[in-house]
Formats: sequence, structure tokens, C-alpha cells
Amino acid sequence: MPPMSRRHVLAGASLLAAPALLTRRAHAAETCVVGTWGGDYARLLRENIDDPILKPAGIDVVQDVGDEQPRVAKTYAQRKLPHGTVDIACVGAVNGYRLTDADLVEPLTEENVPNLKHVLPDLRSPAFVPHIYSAQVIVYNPEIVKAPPQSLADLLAPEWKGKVGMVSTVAPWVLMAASLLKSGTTTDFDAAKDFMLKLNANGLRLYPETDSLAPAFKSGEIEVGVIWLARSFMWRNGGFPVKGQFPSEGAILYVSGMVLPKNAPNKAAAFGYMNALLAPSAQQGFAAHMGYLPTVDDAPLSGTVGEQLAIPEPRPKLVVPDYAVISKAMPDLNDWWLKNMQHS
Amino acid sequence: MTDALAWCERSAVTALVAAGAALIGVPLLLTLYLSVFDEKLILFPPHAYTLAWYPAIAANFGAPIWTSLRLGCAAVAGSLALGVPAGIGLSRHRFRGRGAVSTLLLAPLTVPGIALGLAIYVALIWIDEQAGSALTGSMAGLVLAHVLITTPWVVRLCLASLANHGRDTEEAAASLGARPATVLWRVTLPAVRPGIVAGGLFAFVISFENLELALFLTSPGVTTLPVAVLQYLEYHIDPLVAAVAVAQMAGVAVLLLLLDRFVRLGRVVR
Repeated sequence: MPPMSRRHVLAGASLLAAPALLTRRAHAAETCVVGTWGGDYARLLRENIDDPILKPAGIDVVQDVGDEQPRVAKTYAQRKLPHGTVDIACVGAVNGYRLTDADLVEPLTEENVPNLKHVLPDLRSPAFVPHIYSAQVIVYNPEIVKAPPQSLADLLAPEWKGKVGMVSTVAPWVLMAASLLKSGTTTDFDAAKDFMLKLNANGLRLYPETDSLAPAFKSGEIEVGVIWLARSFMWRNGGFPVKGQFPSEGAILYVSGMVLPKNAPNKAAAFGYMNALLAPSAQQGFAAHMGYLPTVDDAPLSGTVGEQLAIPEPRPKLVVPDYAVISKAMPDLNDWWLKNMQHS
Repeated sequence: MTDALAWCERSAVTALVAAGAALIGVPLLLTLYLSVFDEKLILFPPHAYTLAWYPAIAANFGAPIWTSLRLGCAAVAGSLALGVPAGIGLSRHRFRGRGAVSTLLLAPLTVPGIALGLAIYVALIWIDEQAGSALTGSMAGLVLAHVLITTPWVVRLCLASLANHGRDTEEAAASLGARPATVLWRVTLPAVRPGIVAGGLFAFVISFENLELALFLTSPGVTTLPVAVLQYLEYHIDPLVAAVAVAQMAGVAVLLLLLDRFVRLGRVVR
């Protein structure tokens, strides 16, 4: 037998390593695959649900990290497969409605998810578990703004000319807020567009992402903005002191949660996961770190978190979008925004 | 008059080169600058500077970096296995459909990444449906997709490498009795070596930074670096991502310098 050269050894090692590179990871017998956002959200799922609740119950949670739209597209695409790749898909309420409407997700009842009985009445949905929610508020730097706007209508005043910032990625939600202002409903988009054009003419500044507003606040480029209360909570924890003002006409709610695809490989584990999601400890954990409000009635917030996230009295009007309408209108609203707001 | 014209030409070229260098260099320098801000939000001016973001890279992105490295290596191996023979064949042989094959090998570059990702995902589902396989959401599916997008680079760079190398030496070797395999091994492959190295490098970089395919094709429990960075940015806009970018640039630069020492990449990549 000829002596083995270094080249032969390397080639052999590569062949031996190939299966490890290419094969799917082996899972424990009881596994729940959760399609989720990454970053802090995934970490908090691990810290508040996966490790403390699911693991002791013998369920190994595997996260499938990615963006929401690809996740939704994948759920549609794999609907014909007898077994999908995830047991749970994390989506916003609008996509939750779309997937429910397309009959791609399992209906949920208190029988298979007992903690559903604690879900706040306005947030209940037949096949979507609301996990967290936040309200769209007017944020301002209290060191500069002593008399903050009380309503979106106030943003048209000359004193705010060129000093208002918004985020383009949440255009439909801003339009719903404008609709709420003009007609008291979330679906009067003609009135909303008219208001937004006036705001645009008053020097509205648009930013690509919510966090792009923070440097603009800091530099004095803007003095007020319209974002989610949860993000202002995170800014405060990041050392940037902003305050949120609930608009007097009402605040639109953003709700994020989970659905269970009909072809989920392990539905029993998925039901357990959804139940754990609504447990008070899990809800309080998310509130403490991300500033989102609990979606259940048995997870009161206390201490600094409770103070920072307290809904003011008198209680402002909190408005859940009409998902049937907004899920269909969203592409047109985004299109209108791009054509009329971005470059004017 | 001629001197004045020459001076104008030289000045214009210098200005264009300076503008090009600034266009490339300024964002890199800004990224480097941002990566040392001692701020949780990227606020200018920073209240202090720190290098603490760099040690945090491993803790936050260690697993995704390892995944991307493995994926990049697998994509390089696959694209070289396909692309080098294809490049040599297209360069050294004339056959019917050569133009079509050449175009086909470039085609993946012309499809938008997000559309390609979704299309491959749907194709894998169809294969699974028909064959009862489990390619959807598997590492094998992701590797195959990366091979698809990296192969065109290898083919093109091999072709570029052989374009400057006439067939005379190969014909001389053959006329002296060398068998075709010997000609390939002793003459053609050494000639195409810079193209192979440059192609492998490009394939690795293209694979390592690809986001769109990973959004659709990663398996549960597996995250690549671009996806992890995108997801991190959902909740943070701190200098950690800038530190990751600087580390990535430094890694590629070191790789380039090392490779250029052994293989003159400038002969191919210009």
C-alpha cells in the first residue's frame, strides 16, 4: 500500500466531514419548531417560554429565525405538504387574519389552549394567539417639548412645521390613525390620505426605520414623532429620554402573535407552546424587556415597568384595526404612500 | 496645446480615481468610526468611544458566523466542482449549444435574489411532494441554492483566466505524447489556477453575505450571519452591527492578501 500523502488525508477528511455539512440537524423525539423573528424576540422566547416552561415539560424548542413576510410566503407555499417545517409561525395580526382567512391555520379553542380564557376580549381571534401588543403614540423629547401635541390634528400647526417624523414601514398604521382622527373609524382611507397630504405639506419628515428617528430627535431635526409605545420604552432603557402621548382621538394597536399551520408536524406541542405563551410569567417577561403590553388579564405589571407602561387615566381609546379591511387594503396603501409621500 | 491637453486628461483621471476611492473608502471609514461609538443608539456625536463591541461579536453572532462559514465552504466546493469543468469546457471546446450553456450558467445572476429564493423554495416543495424527500428546510437545499448563485462567478473567472492563455502549450504537450488527462492536469489546470482561486474567493464572499436565499431556505435551528444581523437590527441600532461589518471586511481583506501572495489575482480580477 503506498504511503498516504497530506493531500489524500485532506481529501478523506473532507469526505468524512461532508455529511455533517449537508445533513439536517437531528432533533429530539418531542420537538416544537417555532418560526420566529430573531434578535431580542427570539432570546426572550427562549428565556421566558422555551427554557422555563417547555423544556421541563420534555419539549425541545427549535427556532426557525427569519422575517415575517418570507415566513408567511413559506406557509402558503408548503400548504400541500402533509407535514410542514414549523409547528408555530409568529406573525402580526394582519397576517394572522390572512392565514386564517386562507384556511391555512388551525382554529384555537380553550380546550386545546386553556389560557385563551385570559386573553383580553378585543384581541381575541379564532386562529391567532395574540402574544404582545403596543399602541401607536406621539413621542417627544420632554427636555425640548414642554407642551406636546395632544392629537394628530395638532401636528398640522405651524409650530410643528418640519419638526414631525414618521416611519415609512408603518404607513398603513399611520393612515389608520389619520382615518381615526378624521372619521372615528380605521377604514376611511380617503380622508386619511387627505390629512397625510396636508401633513406632508407641513414638512413631514420620513425615515426608513423606527430607530432612524432617534438620531433625528437627538440632533433636533425633529421634535415629535409617531411610533409604537414599546419602542419609546426601549429608547428610554437605552438612555434616550422620550415620552409618549396617547392621541386624544384614540391609538391604533399593533398586535403580534402566533398561528399553528394545519400541517404542523407536532400540534400537541404547539398547543402547549401557545398556552405557555399566555402564561403570566412569560407575558411579564416580554413587557419588562421590550415594553409590549400583556395580552392577558392575569399578568399585571408592577414597579418601574408598570409605571412606564401604564395606560393613563382617563383611559385613552385603544383601537384594534379592522383586519378584514386592512389586510386587503394594505398593498394599495403602501403603494399610495410610496407615490405620494416618499419623494414629495 | 498638447501638453495642456495631456495635463487635463491626467487631472480628469486623477479626479475620477479620487472620487472612486472616496466612494468606496468613505462608507468603510464611517463604518469603522461607528463601530467604536460608546452608545446604545447610534447618536452623533458619541459621548465616548469603546472597543467593547468587538468582543461582543462572538457572543451575539458566533453560531450564525459558524453556519455561514460552513455554508460558504460547501458553496465553494460545489461551485468549483461544477464551474471549473464548465469553464474549461466552454473555453477549450466548440460544440452545439455552447452559447446557450454559457448563457444558462450566467442566468442565476440575472434573477433578483428574493425571487430566486422563493422560486427555489417552491421547487424544493414540489420535489418533496413528488419524491417524498425532505429537501425543504434542509441544509442540503440551502447548499444547492448557494452553489447555483456562486457557480456563474467561478465559470466566468475561469473563462477569463483561460482567455489569456493560448492553446499552444496544450497542443505541444499532446503532440509530445501526453494523454488528455495529463494535459488537463499538468497544463490546463495550472493555467486556470488564478481563475479557480479568484472564483472560489468570490463564491465564498457571495455565499457568506447572501441574505435572500437564507430567508427562505435555512432549516429550523440554523441561522446565517446576514439573517442574524437583519434580525438584530429589528430591535437594536447600536454599533455592534458596524463592528461585525468591520470584522467581516478585515477577514476578507486578509484572505485577499494571503491569496494574492500565492496567486496573482490581478491577472484575473481587473
